Amino acid sequence: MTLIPWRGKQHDEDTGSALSAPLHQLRSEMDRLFDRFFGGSLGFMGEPFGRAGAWMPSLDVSETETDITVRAEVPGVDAKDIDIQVSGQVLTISGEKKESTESKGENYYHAERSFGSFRRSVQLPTSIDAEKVSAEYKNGVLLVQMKKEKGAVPKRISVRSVKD
Amino acid sequence: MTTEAIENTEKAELAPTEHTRNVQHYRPNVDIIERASELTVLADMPGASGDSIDVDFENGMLTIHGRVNPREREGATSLLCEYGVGDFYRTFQVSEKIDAGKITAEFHDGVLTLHLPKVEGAKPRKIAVRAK
Repeated sequence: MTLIPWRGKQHDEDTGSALSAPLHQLRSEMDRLFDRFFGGSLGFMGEPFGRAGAWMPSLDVSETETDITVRAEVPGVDAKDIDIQVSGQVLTISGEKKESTESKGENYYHAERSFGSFRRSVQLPTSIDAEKVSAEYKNGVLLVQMKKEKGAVPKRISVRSVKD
Repeated sequence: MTTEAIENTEKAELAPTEHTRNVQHYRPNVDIIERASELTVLADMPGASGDSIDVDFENGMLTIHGRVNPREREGATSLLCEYGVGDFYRTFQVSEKIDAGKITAEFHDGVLTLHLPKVEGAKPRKIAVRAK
């Protein structure tokens, strides 16, 4: 539900904003419709577009007091085809999963695996030290480790109990 | 091969029925390709390692089982968790005649590749037609 700023009664008449409430309703209804159609990780109609279409690797993000760790399941991707960028508080992982191309005299019985390029951005909870980002790819799982920026590491402040 | 319906491409959870290890099992996504001389099975198994995967072929049943170590997250707080970590398990009924002794398997970058060569007699034989 959208919060509509309350404006005094006298403004309604001269600015014509009596319309604003129904308009807001219409707008949020449209937003919901769009979300229903285009939202979700699977895209339109709940299915990815074709086999060569974009796919989204699943992510796992966790943090400790000093570190942020991002894992992604990207099986079958060459490590050199993975590109990692940090800009501000946003980490972007992109790459391409290439399909083996020998299609002569082949019959597919099952075709469940996804191919093509992918791109995912994730908003990090704090700013990070861009110099201290490490990434490794092992057995189809990408592991990105980041250190939080000094100012972002929480400082514990102890509370003294004082007696009167 | 199996006639099981393919419903989604996400890694699907399997009901923990007949397993003795108390971990979640997932069904790996596979591609199965038939070539003239063999069947090729490609399975996405991210997080498994080559020596933790068992492949069995018995009485026409092909079983893939990859053990995956559970998440280690001591002292860490999870912010986003889009996938589960657990073993990969899937079985197939193979109707083609397979030479079980010649099955080979490779594991690279989280993808298991199985080559199931067909028995000599099951390979298609081309018969040349001579025109008179």
